[in-house]
Amino acid sequence: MVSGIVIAVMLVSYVLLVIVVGVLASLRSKGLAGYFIAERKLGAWVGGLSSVASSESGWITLGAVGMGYSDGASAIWFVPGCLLGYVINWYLIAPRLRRVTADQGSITIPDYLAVRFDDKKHVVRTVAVVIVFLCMMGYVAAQFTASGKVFRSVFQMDYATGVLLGAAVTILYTLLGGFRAVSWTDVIQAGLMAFGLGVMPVIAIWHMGGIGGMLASLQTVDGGNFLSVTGGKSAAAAMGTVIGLLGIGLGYPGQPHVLARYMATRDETNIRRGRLIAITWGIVAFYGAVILGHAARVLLPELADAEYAFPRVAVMLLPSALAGLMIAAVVAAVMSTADSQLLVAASSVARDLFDRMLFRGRVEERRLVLISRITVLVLGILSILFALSEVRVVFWFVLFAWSGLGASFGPLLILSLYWKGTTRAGAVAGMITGFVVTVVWKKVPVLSGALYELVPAFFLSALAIVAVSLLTRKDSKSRAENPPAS
Amino acid sequence: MSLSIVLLYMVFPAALFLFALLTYLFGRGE
Repeated sequence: MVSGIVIAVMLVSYVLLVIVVGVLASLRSKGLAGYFIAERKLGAWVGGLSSVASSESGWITLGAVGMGYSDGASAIWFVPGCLLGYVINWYLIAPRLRRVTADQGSITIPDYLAVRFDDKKHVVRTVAVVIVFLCMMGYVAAQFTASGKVFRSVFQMDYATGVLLGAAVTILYTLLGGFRAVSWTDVIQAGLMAFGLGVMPVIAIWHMGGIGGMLASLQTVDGGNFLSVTGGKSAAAAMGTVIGLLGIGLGYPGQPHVLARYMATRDETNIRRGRLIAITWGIVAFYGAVILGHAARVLLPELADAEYAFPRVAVMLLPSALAGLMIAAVVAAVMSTADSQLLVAASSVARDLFDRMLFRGRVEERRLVLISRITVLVLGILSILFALSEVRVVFWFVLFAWSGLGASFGPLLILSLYWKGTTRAGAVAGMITGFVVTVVWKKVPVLSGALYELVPAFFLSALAIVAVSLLTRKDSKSRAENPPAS
Repeated sequence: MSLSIVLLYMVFPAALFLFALLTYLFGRGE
């Protein structure tokens, strides 16, 4: 029988470990650049693993496994979508963004955009900060919601206590150690996630008598459509779903909490190593999540909520200590994303709002770090209240913030790095278009039912940047003053 | 097993890993 106490001991050990790492990291960080990008000293392992742990949230261990459970093989399309997102980020964005931001001395994405577009009136910075802030609040709250769900599912704990527990630990080490603590703990968390998502499907399949056994059991599920990559729909009917799932990958170039990892990587060699590490991790984790979902459909066919599949299968198949480790992996996925997002939201307040906009570089570094810590605390508490107010489906919540950021910043990041003709007005138009289209598309049932909002929002944002940039070309000085290094 | 399952579950991840490995061994930063 699985012992709740043993699971709890494993979980507490993990929590203590990340707090110790947070304290150790806090001793090494100095100044604002230390607190927000670890003085640009990340190596390949920390950079690579921290980027994946930050981008893959509670969604991968709860939502993605749940999709593999509910939708069968037709869920697989998000995997190539996400992995191609990794390729775009690591090959197109990371090397150039690292070099340009190091030359500029920028430490946040709004910072980069402001310098790139010679934003003296703070228009670009303001729009960027507002979008980062709105999306990150929802995003962090979604992570804390996931934490509440995990604790409730495994320990039959009260939802609110689960939210508070996950949130308190995350806020504590983020507040103490800043970017270095977040990145170091990300390495532990990415390791746990890869272990959980890599090992669990193997154990589950072995339990069913091998791949042949699992496939034989799945043949009859959903009227025989479970193993169809179109879900048994006609090609035309499945098109919207397939494009939408592939389109999730379009979100990667626009996530400021992930982009910060590239900005913080030491040099180009470490970017090259980091991307092999990140892509290998992604292959293991994404395929592991979907296949685990498929296996869970056979092992636990009557689950009330598919998002509980991972912790439930772990508790069902594993000895208590290992099950505890797997639950820690689920919690790790939540924490490793929430911490990076809290920090990015805090950086937009401390660096962009206080340091650059309100006091124009006249505040002492020491004070700015204090402001950053207070912001982490305030944002953390706000996110807790948000998470406690209403229990939502984690997947939906995360995808909304994911799309908002992806559509607002993704096209702009790519174009600003690769097209010298991008102007300040084009940048503002692109960010606003991306964000507004995401919200409107999501809110109109006919549209959101037909296609995932990120796809139209991303391309319309790109169109807005190009069109407005071409129209305002002659007026803009930014093009000549601060083109990206090429 | 259908061809699409083989392509999506086996060929794609293998090809991507090979691409990442080869660009790491022989590639440049961008």
